[in-house]
Amino acid sequence: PQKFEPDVALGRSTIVEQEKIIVEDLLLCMLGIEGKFIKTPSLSLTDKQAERSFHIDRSLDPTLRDLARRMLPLCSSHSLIVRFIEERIQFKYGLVNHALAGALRGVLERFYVFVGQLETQQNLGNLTLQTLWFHTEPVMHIMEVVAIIVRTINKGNNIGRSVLDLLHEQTQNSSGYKQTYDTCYYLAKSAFKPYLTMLETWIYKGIIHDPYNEFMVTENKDVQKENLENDFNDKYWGKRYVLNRNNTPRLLESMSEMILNTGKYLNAIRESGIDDKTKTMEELKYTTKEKDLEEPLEKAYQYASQILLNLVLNEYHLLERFKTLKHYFLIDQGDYIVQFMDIAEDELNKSASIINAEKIDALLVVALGTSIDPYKDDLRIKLFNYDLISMLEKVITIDRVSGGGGNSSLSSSSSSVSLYAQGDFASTPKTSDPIEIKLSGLESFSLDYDVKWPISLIINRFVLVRYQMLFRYLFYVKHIERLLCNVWRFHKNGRKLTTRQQQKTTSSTTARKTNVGDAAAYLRHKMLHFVQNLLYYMSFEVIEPHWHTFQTNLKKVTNIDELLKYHFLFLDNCLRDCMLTNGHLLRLIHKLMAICVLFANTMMKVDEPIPFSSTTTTKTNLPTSEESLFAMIYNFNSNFTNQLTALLDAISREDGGVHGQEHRLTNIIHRINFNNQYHFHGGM
Amino acid sequence: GGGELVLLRRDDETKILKELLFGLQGIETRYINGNNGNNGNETTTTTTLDRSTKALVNRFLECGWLYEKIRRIINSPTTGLVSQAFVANLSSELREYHRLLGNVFDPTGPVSLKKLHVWLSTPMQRLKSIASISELCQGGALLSLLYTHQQHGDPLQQSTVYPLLYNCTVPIRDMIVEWICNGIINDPYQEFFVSVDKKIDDEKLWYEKYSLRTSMIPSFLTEEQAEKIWITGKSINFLRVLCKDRTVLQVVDTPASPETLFQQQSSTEFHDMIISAYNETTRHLRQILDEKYHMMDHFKAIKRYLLLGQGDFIKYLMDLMEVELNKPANQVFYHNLQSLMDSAIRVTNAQFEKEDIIKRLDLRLMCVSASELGWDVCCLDYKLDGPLKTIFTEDNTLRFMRIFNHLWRVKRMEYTTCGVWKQLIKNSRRFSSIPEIIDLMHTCFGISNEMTRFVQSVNYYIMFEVLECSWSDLLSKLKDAKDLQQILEANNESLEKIIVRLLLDADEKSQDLAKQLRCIFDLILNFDTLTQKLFLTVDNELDARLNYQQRQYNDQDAELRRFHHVFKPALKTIKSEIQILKKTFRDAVLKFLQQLKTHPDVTLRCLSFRLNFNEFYKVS
Repeated sequence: PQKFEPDVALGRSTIVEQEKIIVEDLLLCMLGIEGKFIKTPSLSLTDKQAERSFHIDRSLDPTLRDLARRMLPLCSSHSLIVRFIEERIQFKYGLVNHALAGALRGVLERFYVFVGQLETQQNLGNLTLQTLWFHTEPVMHIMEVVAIIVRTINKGNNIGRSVLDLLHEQTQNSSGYKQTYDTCYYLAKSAFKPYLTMLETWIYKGIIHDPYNEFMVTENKDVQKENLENDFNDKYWGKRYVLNRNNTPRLLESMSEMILNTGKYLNAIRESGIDDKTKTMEELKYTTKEKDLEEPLEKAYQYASQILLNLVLNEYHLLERFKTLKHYFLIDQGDYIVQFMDIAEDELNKSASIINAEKIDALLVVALGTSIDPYKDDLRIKLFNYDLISMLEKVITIDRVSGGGGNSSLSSSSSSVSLYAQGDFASTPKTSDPIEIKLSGLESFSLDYDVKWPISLIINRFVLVRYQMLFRYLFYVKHIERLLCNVWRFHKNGRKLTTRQQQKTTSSTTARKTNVGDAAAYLRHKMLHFVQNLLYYMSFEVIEPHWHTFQTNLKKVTNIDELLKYHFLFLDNCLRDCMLTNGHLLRLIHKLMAICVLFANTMMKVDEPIPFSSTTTTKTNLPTSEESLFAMIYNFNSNFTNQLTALLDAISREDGGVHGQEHRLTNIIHRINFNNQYHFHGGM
Repeated sequence: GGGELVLLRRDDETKILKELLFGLQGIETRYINGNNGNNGNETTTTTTLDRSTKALVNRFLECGWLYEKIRRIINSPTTGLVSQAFVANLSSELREYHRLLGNVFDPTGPVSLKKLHVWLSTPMQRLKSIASISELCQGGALLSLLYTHQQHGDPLQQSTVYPLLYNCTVPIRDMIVEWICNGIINDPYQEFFVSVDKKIDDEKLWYEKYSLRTSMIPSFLTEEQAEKIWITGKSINFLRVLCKDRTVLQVVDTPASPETLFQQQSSTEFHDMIISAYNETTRHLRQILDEKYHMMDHFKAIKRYLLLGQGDFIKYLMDLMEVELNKPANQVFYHNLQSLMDSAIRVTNAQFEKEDIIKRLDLRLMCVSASELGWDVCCLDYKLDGPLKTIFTEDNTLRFMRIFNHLWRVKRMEYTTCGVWKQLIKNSRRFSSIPEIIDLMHTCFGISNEMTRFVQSVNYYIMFEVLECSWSDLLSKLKDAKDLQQILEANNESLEKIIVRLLLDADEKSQDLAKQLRCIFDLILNFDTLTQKLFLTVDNELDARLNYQQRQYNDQDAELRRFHHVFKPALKTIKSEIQILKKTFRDAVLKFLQQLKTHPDVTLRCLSFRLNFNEFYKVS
């Protein structure tokens, strides 16, 4: 600052003259120029946003000085605003700040007009300090409010959404005093304009035009729809367009999900190559009332979701594809599965690592040859390198970690994002399995379904994993049923259960022979009964009713998200009611199955010549005498009964519980224990 | 006194304003100097002005400084149409500014230094935004710069830059329209994003003559749009030069207005224009290629002849050429083979082909090295010219030759194994009189069947899984292809795939497999010679026995001696050789299968279990 040198020794001027000078000075100050009496220290170069203070020379008459001092805040405000505009007009601050700076410039222009009017008054000789104060006071008040806004923005170094929030809040808070309200409203409207333009482009065209990253929806260009088939989770739908909470102004917060979905649907439609031109774009205007904005947003949302839904249902035959999935993954008609098991049995019995995947694929194609389903060509096979139990455990563990609670339901899509947040699910099992069991082909086999956009939005990996789990389970149970049926055939063909020594004995021991045969037959029958009833339960009492509910729900669906929700619900219900989500029950069932398998394999090998091929995995010591055979069967029987009782017990306890829905599980008990042969704690 | 002070200021004010009027246009006056080094003009006056007035005046002089800056830009030499438009726009901005100054400094109206704030605040901002576009780039890059400047939230800035952007886009828009309608580039200053290299000759027109100058693509056009524009123009030139087609297509009725280039989110007019031009042009090109040059017919002909589709012709050709080709390579002459080929054409169904196609069929003899037989050097060739040469370049021709070579070899194996079988059948009846060789004959039959089966599987794989599949792929891609670029890509892709699947590519695994396969084929040829040897021996034996018979069974000792010392040892050697061959063959096939299993390509993996469908070749 220059040294404080008044041009004239003011103390010597008269009050009248002093008044004239101070009035002139004030007018200059309001324009940001130092006057004769009023000086200001220069601001530091680093802190551009500091307050500018003004000092009045002491030689001024004290009364004048006091009155003048009251008007100084106006000058500070002006200075602050000018510097703000200069700063914020730069590109890096984003569109909102630019617009705000422009609006502030408009405010300043009106201010300059005001000053010009004052000058005119001054030239006419009508401007005393008092009249100056009279005119200035209201203006000062408004400018002060604006300066507060500017100060707050500077302090937080705010960009984009925070600026909008601030302005919005200020507008709402000033609704009492009309003039400040008008100014704030004007500022807010201007600042919101670029943001609302971006919003319009998004909800009417699905395009984001956001050069400075201020919009609430960010596009992740890395996620392409071509990778969708390889994506293990619903990354595309979930991650391509993401809601950025930091960029969501409070005004739009309640509608942010809807806004996101509108644009997503439009994009999905556009990606399918359909060009939609029949829309009228309604302009969005800033308003202090949220409800006013809600209406056009709602309309746009409804429109977009309707189109996408129609597209998916009608052009791409989504409903028929659901039927296909049910047909093949949930084995609702047995035609292909029996044929496939027959021809692929040999190959699948081998260890999973040496199976030739293409061969199985070719065999599947042969088995599917007789089906008339139009969408069966997209079926593929998949060989997992971990078995069903590990798969389920993984899914359930992750779900529990993500806070799914005891409910272990896997429905909502938000939990799906956290489900796969822990990395790629399909590639390698987690390091907590060092077990490395050698899986046979049967244990690792599953189907897969290949779909293109936009069906891949709905039949995505997330959904397919659940279908695959159900399929593997059903397949396994069916396999066991087959084994037991083979045992039945084996017995039926007159090969009575005897050992080699046995064949040489006389008929006196026939009575005992029959005992062994009978015992084996009885056990086989029990096992078969259990397995078949389990299968019937799953097919008829779980899958069919849930499917029916699903179909009914589909009839009244209005947008894609609801469709996805109902689909997940269907699968979740099926998984839950087939006991796949309950680790304890599942383990019990698995043990039962293992017993059945062991029994069946043993029965098939009892009567074979002793040097059988050593490449089979079961190495049972075959009984060489009748007693040991009998004992073995007895063991099997008691094991089986115990396990089954435990299972039924567990089921009856289980169902007390959480869901309160239909007590489906107890139906298993009714089926299996129809004649009360198993006595367990919770049994009737 | 104080009053005088004020009065003085007022007088001064009018004078000051007069000076300021000049200063605002960057003109130096008695009181106002330009200080080009510093950041603004300064007043140095002889009369004493008070500080505040000085400050006020200096504030406004910033406008003058901006004005000067812009003036300098206008006066700097411009190269380029876009820059010219830019400069013209700047001039009109400044003219506007003059007009404003004239209005403001109207001598009748009252204006003061303070009131100038009102008038000059907006113009100052406008000048600032214009002056900040100070880099003078060229053409499309300048447009990108303007576009970035227009992406600003302040409505004043948007409206300032908009007319600049609009007017500067006009030349580029015109160039685009000229290019997509007529294929001509009128670009004296290299501002357009398609450049032409006049030195490239017409042969390589499609590939090298026109290239995309990416730095000149304005940022508001997408890559895809730029590419489509480029292809449209290229297609027009292609039509004109190579296809000699000069029909003028009315593709664009009215050129799209310039703002639709950079405001694509509000209107799709520009996008529609280039898409319709693209569609129209490529459709026409496709039509010309299909109808005038019979492109699809040539594709089919290549498949029939170079890829051995026309079975009867190939078989007959092989029959005729067998003797010639068995000679060493340096004794094989073109005219001999050609006459054989002509006779083959005349005799088989090939005679019903179109004249045009037949005359393009030709033979080629590849480079000769001493050890090769005629089989390895002879290739069929298909001569093309005109626009089709762009599709079937020299590169592609070489690839076809390699493929043909391989196919020819496999066919020859098939031929050989059939020959062996024929011989065996023929001779087994004759040789039934000699009991010693029954089991040997049986072994031979077994080996022959194995080999036949192997060769047939490989042949089937090649014919159907490789050639037919890639052909149907190619057909569907060609059907969907819209522009020449896609046709070229489809062709290249299909050739690449064939090469990989025929184990002709550079991949290490493929080369191993190819070597192994050649090994197996050599074994088959060995077997052929062995059986020939066997037949010769037995024939000699039969002759000798006949002789013996005719000699009335005299000289039994000599006969027995001969039998034991000549025939039996010879038989023994042959027998052991055949056994060795059998084992070697089986091992080779096993190795081949194992190598197949680990190859990255999925159809080759399928081949492995098809060849071994009944698990005959087991790893023991």
